[in-house]
Amino acid sequence: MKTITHPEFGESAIVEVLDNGLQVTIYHKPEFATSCFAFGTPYGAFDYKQNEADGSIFEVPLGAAHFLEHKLFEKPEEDMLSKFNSLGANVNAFTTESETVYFFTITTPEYQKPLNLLLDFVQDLQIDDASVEKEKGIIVEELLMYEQIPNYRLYREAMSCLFENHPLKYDVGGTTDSVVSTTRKELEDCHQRNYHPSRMQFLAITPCDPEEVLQVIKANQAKKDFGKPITMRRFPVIEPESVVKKEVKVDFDIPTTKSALVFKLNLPQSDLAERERIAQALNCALQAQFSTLNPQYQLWIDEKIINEFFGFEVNIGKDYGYVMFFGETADPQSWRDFLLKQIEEMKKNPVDSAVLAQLKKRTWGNALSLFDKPSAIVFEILRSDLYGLSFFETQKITRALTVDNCVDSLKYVKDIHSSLVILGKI
Amino acid sequence: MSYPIKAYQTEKFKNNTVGLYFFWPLSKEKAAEVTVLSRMLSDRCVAFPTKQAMTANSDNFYALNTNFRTFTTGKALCMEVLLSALDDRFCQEGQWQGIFATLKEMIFRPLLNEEVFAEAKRNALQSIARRQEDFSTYCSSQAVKSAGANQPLEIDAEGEQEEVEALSLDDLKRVHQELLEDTFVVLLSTGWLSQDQLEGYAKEYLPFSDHNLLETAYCFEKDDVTSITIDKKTTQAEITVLYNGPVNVKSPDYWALRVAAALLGQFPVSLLFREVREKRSLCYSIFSTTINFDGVLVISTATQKKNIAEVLSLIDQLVKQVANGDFDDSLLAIIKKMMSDIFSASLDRPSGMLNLGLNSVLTKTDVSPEAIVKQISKVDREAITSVFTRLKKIGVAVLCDPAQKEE
Repeated sequence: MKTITHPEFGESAIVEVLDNGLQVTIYHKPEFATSCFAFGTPYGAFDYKQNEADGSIFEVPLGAAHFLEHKLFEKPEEDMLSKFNSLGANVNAFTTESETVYFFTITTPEYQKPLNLLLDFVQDLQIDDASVEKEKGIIVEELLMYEQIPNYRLYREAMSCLFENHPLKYDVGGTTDSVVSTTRKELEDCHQRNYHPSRMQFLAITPCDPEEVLQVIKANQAKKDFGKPITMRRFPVIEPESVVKKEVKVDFDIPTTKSALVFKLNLPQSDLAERERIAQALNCALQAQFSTLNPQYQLWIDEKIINEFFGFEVNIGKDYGYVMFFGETADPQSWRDFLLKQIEEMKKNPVDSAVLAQLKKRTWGNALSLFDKPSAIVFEILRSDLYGLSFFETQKITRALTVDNCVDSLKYVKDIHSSLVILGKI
Repeated sequence: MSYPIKAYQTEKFKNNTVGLYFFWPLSKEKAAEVTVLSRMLSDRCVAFPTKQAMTANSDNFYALNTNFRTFTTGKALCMEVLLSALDDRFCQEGQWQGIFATLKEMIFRPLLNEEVFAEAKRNALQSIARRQEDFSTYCSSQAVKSAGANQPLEIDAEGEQEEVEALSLDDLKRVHQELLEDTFVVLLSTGWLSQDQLEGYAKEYLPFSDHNLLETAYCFEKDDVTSITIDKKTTQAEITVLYNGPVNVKSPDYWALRVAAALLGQFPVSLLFREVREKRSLCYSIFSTTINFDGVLVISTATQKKNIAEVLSLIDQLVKQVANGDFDDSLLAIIKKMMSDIFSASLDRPSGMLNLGLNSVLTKTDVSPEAIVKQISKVDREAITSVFTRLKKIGVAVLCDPAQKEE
């Protein structure tokens, strides 16, 4: 066991890698009533196709990671949601493109039973064919729910326009067809391959004694035999530089047309820190131009080029990157031309160093504030650890960011790699 | 100066959060005026006359977060100003002195001119139009409007198109004067600020006079059921069912209604979730909640069009089941424990602490988590059946695609 301190945040944690390979991190927050315990695996929607150690391919239907998350909550003797509730704990889970995280919160010191329950139910899949069939209806309802949320639909259509092969083009939950075709055996195989403790991480924020928490986890894990881990790697995606479609119109029953201008970023092979640096630099550069930091922003509002719905998102992962602008406009083509013109002008005018300093100050304030929210700390830190670049490393990258980084990042934003999505009544 | 000021001092947060609340009697016109005013106040002011200047000032306080919103509490309309930023000891000396000075500028010296007004009005109208985009929320709001006709419940705190379009700059100047001189004001904080500090800042920067507390909670009056169908091109049907208590936040059996509503549909262990989702796979999400100052119970879900009748029937059946006391003692015990934990956990969230504090002022009762837990512990089967037996269904709204086939 070692103690890691982050003096700039005034926070510290104990960390231990258990004999079975599970990394456990526990932050002690004695002044809070709430404990949050989270157990995660770096297995998400992108991993529907994987390589095993011998090079063979393991492929399951789209959305299998999300389906598995649903099914782990069900045991023959009792449903886990009810069981946690009966212990005074609130349990939940989420699946993203790259990870699945199970967590519970509790406000009393009686965390031991739900903690053991969390470890046990995540590590022990008990399903039968009937329960898998029953779940399909619930998941299809979930997919339909997201499908009718306009902002989510805009994002989904944008990803479909950009990516030919990358699984970003699919919903995390898969499709109705993929969900319906998923079998019990496939879910069991997913679990066996991707839930070995050596692949997983455990993170807790608690007012209780962290060493006692660690002992509970160690005792639980010592009783179990997981065998040797199976080496699994995400199947490498070969993605062309070009986009799939330059423009798409989607019929959708909303009063105001929404548009997205989205750019595929074709970045060179580089480590995670470098990719994070590019993401942050690009975000700062775009903030400087496309937010209230820019005095021209008011003019664009007055001229009704943009409204308060307008915004953008930069997302760079291990093997993909994109920038997405979104807005409401009656004239999407002119809106696109306007944005492209602004981006070209940005390339000629470097970001003001004072603006970059201002953004760093804002980022620092937000990072410190994160520690006011127990659940937010857990998710932010656990997700970044599962990704492979810690939250604290990303803060160091922010502090070291330069104007040159910002200028350089803009070279990846190219008109020829962009798509326009229009969502509204046709 | 003696308006309600309360600091909930704690060292658990790095941020201080301050809530400033202004109350008016609720009307459709007032909702429109206040929602546009809140947009103007948050946008620019004399000291920071551009968005760029406002942003620079916020960033100077290490990401000062300023949020304006309007909401209703029964017969009253509230404009909330919420500020959150690091305490001085985590960043710079004089941080909160500066933030209160900023707040004063925003509240007392806004830019009430045609340019800012036109933008705020346009944004408010666009926001009203955007309500139709979230079918779930839209279905619920239409259910409330139709069933709550001619009662405070029908009024949306963010105003309606007709009233917003009718506004002039003079209306906004008048409502701003009301804000400064005639509204009931409450100031609350969580974080490191002490009661003395908060009162000192109030005296220096927020010199409002005291006004009588407005009438807020009321009991909804309606005996019949208003049913509506909303046509939208959608893949999923939305359902909202409304029941009248008549029990509001000030009623003696208020906590019985809250526990009963939770038993029916607040948690994964609750009856609606177990029966409609888990046993029959008819939906992904289903829940019940209470509109506390109006005495109304709301049940919401989404399902496929072919399942609408079955889901509505199950909702009726489960409400009756609770009214008949047909539930396990163990389930009731779990629900009470879960609710108690939620209120205990609210002390770990600045917004949760401020909500409790505001409710305490409005209801003139002790709504500390300890007091609430005590109230919840007193609720028994008899209290639940008593309150649910008096429930009356008052509204049903279904949003679906008329062209969709029920396959």
